[in-house]
Formats: sequence, structure tokens, C-alpha cells
Amino acid sequence: MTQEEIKEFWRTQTIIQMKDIVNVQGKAYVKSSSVERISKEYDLPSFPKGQFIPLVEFGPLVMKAYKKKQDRRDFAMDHKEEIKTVVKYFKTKVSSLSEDKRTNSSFVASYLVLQFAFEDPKTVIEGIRIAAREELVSNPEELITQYQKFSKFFHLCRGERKWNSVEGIAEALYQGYKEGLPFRQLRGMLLVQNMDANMVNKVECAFYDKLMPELEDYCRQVKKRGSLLRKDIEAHYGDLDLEAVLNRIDTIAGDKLQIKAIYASMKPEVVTGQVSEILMSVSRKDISVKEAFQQLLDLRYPDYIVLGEISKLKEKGLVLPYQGLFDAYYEKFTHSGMEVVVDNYLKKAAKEQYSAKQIVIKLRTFGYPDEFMARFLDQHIDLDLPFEEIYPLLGRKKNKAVIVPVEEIQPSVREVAHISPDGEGFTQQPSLKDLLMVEGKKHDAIVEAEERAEEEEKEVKLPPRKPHKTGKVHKIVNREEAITTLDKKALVSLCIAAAGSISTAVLVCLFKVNPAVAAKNCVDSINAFVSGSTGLQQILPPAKELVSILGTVGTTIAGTIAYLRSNSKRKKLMQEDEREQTKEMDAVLSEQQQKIGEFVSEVLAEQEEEKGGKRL
Amino acid sequence: MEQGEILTLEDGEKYVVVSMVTIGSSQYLYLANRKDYKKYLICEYYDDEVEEVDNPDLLETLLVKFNEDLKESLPKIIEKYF
Repeated sequence: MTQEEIKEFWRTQTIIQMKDIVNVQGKAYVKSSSVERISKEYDLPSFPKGQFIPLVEFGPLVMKAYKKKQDRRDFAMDHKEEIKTVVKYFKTKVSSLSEDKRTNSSFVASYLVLQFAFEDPKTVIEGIRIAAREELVSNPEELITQYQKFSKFFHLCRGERKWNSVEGIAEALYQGYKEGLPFRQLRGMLLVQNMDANMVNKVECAFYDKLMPELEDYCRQVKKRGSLLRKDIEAHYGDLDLEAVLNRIDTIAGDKLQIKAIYASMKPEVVTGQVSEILMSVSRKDISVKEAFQQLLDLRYPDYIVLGEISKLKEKGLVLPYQGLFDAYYEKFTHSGMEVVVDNYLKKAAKEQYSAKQIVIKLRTFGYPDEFMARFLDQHIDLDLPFEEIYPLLGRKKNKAVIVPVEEIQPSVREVAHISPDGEGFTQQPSLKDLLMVEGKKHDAIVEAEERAEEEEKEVKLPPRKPHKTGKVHKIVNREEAITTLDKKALVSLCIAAAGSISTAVLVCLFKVNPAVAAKNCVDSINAFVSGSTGLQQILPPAKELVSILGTVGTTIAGTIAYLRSNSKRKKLMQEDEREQTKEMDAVLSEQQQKIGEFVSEVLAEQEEEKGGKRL
Repeated sequence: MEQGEILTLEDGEKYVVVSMVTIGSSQYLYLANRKDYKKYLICEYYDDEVEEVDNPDLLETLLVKFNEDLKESLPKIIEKYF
């Protein structure tokens, strides 16, 4: 042994004994079995198995751990009674909790913080360790971590509260949330500290303000999808007040994420209230149908939700000027992409001879009320569809919408509902309850509508999504995040596609559908690209990358032409004039390719010139 | 789903999500093969599957929408990746 090793041996001899040491080429090592035993005893980090550790390295680590243990032992001796109280708390209170609460670390941790708020945290931590030895705690380290975080939050809040600082408490709340503590429990702790509800509300507002940058980032991530799914937002922010989160996301992203659809699914009664209020106003002639439509649009709920609400009220037998509103929504619908989708489906259904039930099931997946779809079907009576069977399924009797005429409503209903003598509107605003009940009984029309709804429910159950697959289906086995893994090749694909409809995919598709449109589209796009009207010239990438992109664009065009030429099936079908069209297109494309080449040369020359200038 | 995300399909081929549009309750994707960008898929996305769109009318509608989406996102792509 060297002098240093001997010194270390004497220092650690109460723990490391002679039998633990081996001599390898004149150097003292601690045996692997001893390393393992001592590490376990003194909570040292684990060393690789089967490895000898030099005594001069292992000794100081052991001594440090030994001292820590001694300190803890001394502390335990000095605070014996307090620690006993903590362990007793586990035995009496925590053990009596339900299984899910007892094993929930954050729940138990917050309880401990409140119970032992003014004790030395070391006492509680020691108590947790002893409780664990007595098998009263299953995961002591996790509980200790959670306890420390909650304790920090509690004391921060206490400090801030003294100064009545909303901002300070909100900051503590935000930090706690960021550290992974459950928001509801953090909020609960504020209330337990006798903070009044008004103050808690202010703190919450300030907290959500702090969350805004994160929410903005989240919105940017999901924006591309066009709509946000409830389960997605619940997975991200389920612990928070979802209504507050949705309101803020709605402010950030607006209609684009169709937040209101999620909100409507969470708070249907609010939607019903808002829509019926507007409808009542129009029925009282306080506002025109046009104004009502605008107000309904301003609510920013998706059309199918508002239409659903209108239909519900109609089904309940209310007499309101629905027609104008339906007309307005119908007009909006027939100018949206949805119209094309439904239209396409009906054509396909006619071609493939789908059954009435199958068609109704699919139409309902679009979310619009049955009556709305029935009306849309009216425009397609030229299609070979089983209308006689479809209409009743959509709630029409004898191909006619079910409408409760004013005359058919019993006088007593008219009286209760304050319907004006001409039946056009209400003389004063009735409550929904008034309208639905007559002498404590439901109106016949309502009973009938409810029965029909029940029957329909039995008859046509909504199937799981995509009951009928016509296109080729591919299973996705893996998804990789774009930003970190996007390689050059993927980037080029993305740029070509983004460079204004000149991607091969778009072209090939267009050629399949309409060669003339494709040719024009291609030429227009390249012109736009070269002349910079797409805005690309203002934000030019470095010349090298640009050449790469433009070079690939050239290949893309050549590839498209090659596709057309090699497509023998298409060749057979191609008429003489189409061939001429392709020839013309070839010429145009060659010219465009030349233009691209010239453009690239110009850019490169300019860059060279710039470089030359800098050198001078 | 996010633009630029890379999807591996069951045949082992990797596709880049070039563009996405939502019509009604359906989400449609324009996927370009990562190795050979001349290979592409215009498809509907649901759960962990994509189904190729085979209806010419719907294809035409989708192409117009993809085109609009891509024109809008071009400056952002250039700014982000170059």
C-alpha cells in the first residue's frame, strides 16, 4: 500500500475492512462484492458489477455517505418526537385513505405540506423514509420529490400572500404547474390557505395569461390540421380548466381550429341557450332574419352545430321563422367545400348502388341535421338513389319535411306561448318550459318527435368511423417529428410542392383528371415561380439551394411528360387532338425549362458579382 | 399531424406530409415519398391509417385546396428551413 492508501484505510476502517481489500500490482482495490454491499448500505450510486474500485477513489465516497447518514441519525435523535408524529400521521390518516388516493404521491404530498406546514421539511422527509421502511409508503423517493415541490409552492405563496401579490402567487402557480404538479391540487392549496374566491379568480386569470405563449406555440403546432380534437386538448391541458384554455385558444387561433365545436360538446346547454335567445329575438321581430343569421355566425360555432340547435327547437314544436335561417345556412353550405364532398359521395352511392341505410349513415357523419341533408338530396333527384327509403329515414313523411303548422298547435299552447293571433310571432318572450309543457303535459308534437328520435336511434346506430373503404388503405407504423428529422430530400419535396402547384403529384393527378387544366396550371405556376409573383424572389434561399430546387423542378416536369408518354393505357385512349395538345405543352415546358435555367444563371452571376464586389 | 412530419407505412416506405386540409370531419393528406418524390399519395387520414382517395371529383377539389395551402405556407417553409 502507498502512504495515501494507508491513510485512506485508517480513515474508513469502520466501514472498509482488510477482508474487503485486494492488492493488484501493488495497488489497493476494494473487492466488487464489498463495493456492492457498502454501496447498498450507504445509498451510494451503483457501480458496474464485477469491477474493483481503487481504495483511494471509493474511500472518500463512502466517508461522505457515512457522514450524511450520521447527520441524519443525529437529526432523527434530536427530532425523534416530531418524526414519530409524521409516521403516526401515515398510520392513522394516510392509511385510511382510499387505495387510489393513498398511492397517489402528489395527493399525499400536498396533504403532508398542509399538515406539517411549519415543521422542518427534514422531519417530514425522515418520517416518509421511516414510514416506507414500515411499508406504509410504496414509492418514498417520488413522494419526497413531490413533497419538496409542493412545499416550495406553499411557502412561495405564503410569502407572496403577505404582500397580497396576485402576480407573485400566479407565478408560483405557474412554476408549480411547469414542474408537473397537478393544477387542481395547487389551486386547492390556495383555497385551503383561506384565500378568498375573488383573489383565487384573479390569480387564475393571471396564471392563464402566463400560459399564453405556450398556448400560442401549441396552436401553431396544431393549426395545420384545421381543427382541434377534444381528446388532443384534454391530453395536453386536461388538468386545467378546459373552458378557460379553450377561450384563450379561441382568441389566439379563432375559427381556424374550430374551438367552438369542442366547447359545444362540453357545454351543450350554453350553446342551446345562446342560439335560442337569438331565435326568440327574431321571432319577436326585434331583429330581422338577416341580423339573426349574422348574430348566429358571430357566435362562431360550426354551422352544423347551430343548425342542429335550430332543428332541435323546431322538433320541439316551436314556431319560428326557420325558413329564412335555413335558407341562409343552405346558401353558405352550397358555397363550401363540404357541398362538393357530399355531392361526390351521392354520385358514388348512386353508381355503387348503396343501400338507403348506408347512405343515411354516411350523410349523418357530416354532422348536419337530417332535414338539411334531405333538402340537399332534393337537388339530386336526377341521381339513381333509393329516395323513397332515404327520405323517411331522414325524418320526412311522404317526401315532405315534418313541420308543425301554427294552426295545429292547440289553443292552450298558443295561449301559454303567447303566440300572436296571426301566428307569426310571440307577443312576449315565453320561457322554453312554457313552450314545451301544456298543463303539465308534453305537447303531442314533442311526444311524437321524441318517439321518432327513439325509434331512429334503435333503427340506425352510428357506426364506427369509415364503415366503407373504397381506396387502398395503408397502415401507418411510425411517425417522426418533422423539424428534427427533416432531411434534404424531404425538404426538397416540400419546397417543390410548395413552389406553387408544380409538384409531380399535383400535375400527375391533374393530368388524370383534366389534361388541359393541368397544362395551363403547370405553365401558370412556372411563370409565377420565375417571375417571382409567388413571393419567392423576395425571400430567395442561398443560390446553391435554389439551383437544387429548380433543378429538381426541371426533373419533375420531365418526369411528368415521361409519365404521360409511358402511360400506354392513356395513349390508347388519347385522341389525336389531345396528342397535339401534349406536343404543344412539351414545347411550352421546354421553353419554361430554358427560362428556369437562364434565371438560375442570372442568380448565380449576381451572387458571383456580389462576392467580387465584397473582395474589392 | 404536422406539415413535414414523416410517416412510415406498413410496406416500410417513408412519406413526407406535404400538405393537409380538413373538409367537414375528414382530414386529407398529400404525402410525398421521401426517397422518390415522384411517388405520392393523396389520401384521407384517420386513426393510424391512410386511405387513398379514388374519386376524381374529390381529387380535383382536394388539389385546389392543397394548392392554396401550399401557396400560403411557402414563405414560412423557406424561412424555417433555409
